[in-house]
Amino acid sequence: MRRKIAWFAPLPPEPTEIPEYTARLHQEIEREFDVSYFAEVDSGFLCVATDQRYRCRPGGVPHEIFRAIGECDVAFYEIGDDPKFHLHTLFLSRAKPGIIVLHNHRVHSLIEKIYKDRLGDREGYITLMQRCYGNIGAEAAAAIWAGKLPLHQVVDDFPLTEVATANALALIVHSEEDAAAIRRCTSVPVFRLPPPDSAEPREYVAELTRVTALVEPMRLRRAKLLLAARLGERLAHVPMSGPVAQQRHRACAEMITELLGNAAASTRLAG
Amino acid sequence: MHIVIATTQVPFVHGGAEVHADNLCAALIEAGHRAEIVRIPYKWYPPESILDAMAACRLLDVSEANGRRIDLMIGLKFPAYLMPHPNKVLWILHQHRTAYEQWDHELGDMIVYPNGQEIRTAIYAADRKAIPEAKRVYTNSNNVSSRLQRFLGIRSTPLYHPPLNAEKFYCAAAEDFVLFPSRINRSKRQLLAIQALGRADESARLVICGESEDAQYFAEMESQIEALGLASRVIFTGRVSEEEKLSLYARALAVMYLPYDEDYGYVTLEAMLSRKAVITCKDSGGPLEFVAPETTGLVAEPEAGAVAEALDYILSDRRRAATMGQMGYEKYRAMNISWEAVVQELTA
Repeated sequence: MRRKIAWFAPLPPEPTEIPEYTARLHQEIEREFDVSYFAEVDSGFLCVATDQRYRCRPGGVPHEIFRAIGECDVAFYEIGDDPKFHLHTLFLSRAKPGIIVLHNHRVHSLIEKIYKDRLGDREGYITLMQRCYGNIGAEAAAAIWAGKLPLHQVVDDFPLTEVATANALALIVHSEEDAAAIRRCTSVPVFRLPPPDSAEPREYVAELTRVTALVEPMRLRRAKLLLAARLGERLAHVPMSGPVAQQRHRACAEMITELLGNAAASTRLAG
Repeated sequence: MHIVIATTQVPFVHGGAEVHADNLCAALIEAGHRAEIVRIPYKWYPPESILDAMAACRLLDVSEANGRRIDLMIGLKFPAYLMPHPNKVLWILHQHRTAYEQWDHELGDMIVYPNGQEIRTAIYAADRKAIPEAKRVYTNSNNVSSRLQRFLGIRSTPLYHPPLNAEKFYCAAAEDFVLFPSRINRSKRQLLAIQALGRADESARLVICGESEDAQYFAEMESQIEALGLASRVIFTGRVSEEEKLSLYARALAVMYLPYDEDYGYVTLEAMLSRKAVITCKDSGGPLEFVAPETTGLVAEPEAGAVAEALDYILSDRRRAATMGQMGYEKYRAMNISWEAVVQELTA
C-alpha cells in the first residue's frame, strides 16, 4: 500500500538550497509516496496542491494543518537556518511529531533569528538557553543578544540541537558529524542519508521508505513514554514510599509493557 | 455464575450504551446469575486522558471480590474491555471510534491533537493485545464486526439484542408526522432531516425527539429551521418519558433515522416493533442490517434531496408505508432477537 506523506519544505523558486534539493528528489518521491507539499510562506503555510494558505502565529498552527498531517502516515519537516522558511515549520514539528530532515545540527542561528528578528523576545531567548545549558547558557544568550558575543564563535558550544530534535519521531541528517552530534543529545533514532546533491534519487527515496516504515513503532514508543510520564506524575502524589512505592511503580511499568508491547519504554517508571 | 459487566460511563450522559448494560445485567439476573455492572468513568479529551483510562482499566482486578471468585467478565466498551480476567468474553458495542473509522472523518477530533497519532497507535496496540485475550468475541452488529476485521484483522460474531421495553411497543393509527427519535448530535444528523423537510411536500411534519448534547449543533438546526420557514412543521419534544416515546412511535407515519455509520441503532428496531417504515441513509451503518429497501423502509443517499424524495414517497402512499411497517415487524419477529438467546450465548 502506498504511504501518504506530508512534506514541509521551501519549494522552488525560493532562493535557498533546500528547494533545489526537494526539486531534485520530488519526482522519485512521488513515484513512491502520495505526497502533500506544504511550503512556508510569511504568515503560515501554503498547500501546494490546492493553493490554499493557512495563516499561523508562532506556536499556533491551525487545525486544518494538523488534520492534513493526520491524514498522512507521516510528516517530513525540512529544517534549515532561515526563519523566513522554517519558523512555523519548527513550531509545527514540535507540536505534531514527524521525521525531521535537519540540514545542520546547529540550529542556534535559526533560533536566534526567530527570537530576535521575528518575535523580538529577549526573555524567551534567554530562558530557552538557560533551560538547555543552565546559567552559562543564559549569560551567553544575553551577550549574544547585546551583540557582545558573536554567535559563530560559540555556536558549537550552544548548538541548540535539542530544540529541533526533542519531539521528533526520527531524524535524517546528511553528515556523520551531524549524526554524531545529535546522538550525543537525544535518543531519537538518527538516520544518515547521503547528501542530496551526491545521492542517487532512487537510492535516496529507498532509504526514505525504510525510515517511514519505522514510524509506527516510534509512535508506540512515544505513547509508552507519555503514559509512563503521566503515571509517574500521578504516583508521585500518592502518599506511599519505600518498597510499596517501588512495587506500585514496577506494576505500572509492567502493565505498560504488557499492554502496549515488549519494547522497553517503561523503564522510567521501573527505574 | 458471578458475572461482572465491564463498561465505561461518561458521567451524566445516558444513551443506548447505558441502557444496553442495564438490560444485559437484568437479563443475566433473570437467568439466575449474580451480575454487577462495573462502570469506569471515561473522558476522551485531551487524548492523553485515554491513555490514563487504558492504564486504569488494565490495573484493575475483577477476577475476585471479597474473597469470592468472579466467574466471568463480559466487556462491552473500550477501554473497560481491556481489564484482565481469566474468563473474559467480549460483546463489543464499539471501539474508540475516533481512532478508527472516524479518524479522518469530520466527526473525529483526535486527528487534530498534537499527540493524536501517538494515542491512536497506542489504542491499536492495546486492542490488538487485549481483544484476543477473550475466550469469545461478539459485537452488537455486523457493522462493528466488519470494523474489527477491517482495522485489526480480528474475527467476531454479531449478537443482536432487543431494545428496552421491546414488548411494550405498539402500533396506533398513523398521524401526519414523521418521527426522528434520538439523542441530538452531529453524528445523528437531525440537521439533514430538517434540510430534507425543506425540500419535501409542505404537508410533511417532523417530530424530533431526544435530548440535545451539542448546543452549537442545536443552534445550527434552529437557524436552518428559521431560514427555511419550517417553524410550524418541526417540533422538538426534548427528552420524553418512556410512555410518551412509545406513543410517539405508535402514532408516527414513519420513522426517520439518518445517523452516520451507527454501530447498531435501537431506533430501527423500535420502529420495526411499532410497525413503522424506516427512512435511513446508505452510510448509516447498523440500520442497514435491518432495513430492507422498498420492503421495510427506504434507504436514501445522505443528502437533503434524496431524503426529501423518500419522505415524499411515504407521504404520497400511506398504505404502502403501513405495509412496510408491518413487514418490518414480521422481519423482527423472524430474527429471534431476545435476551434469552443473548444470555445463553455469552455464558455458554
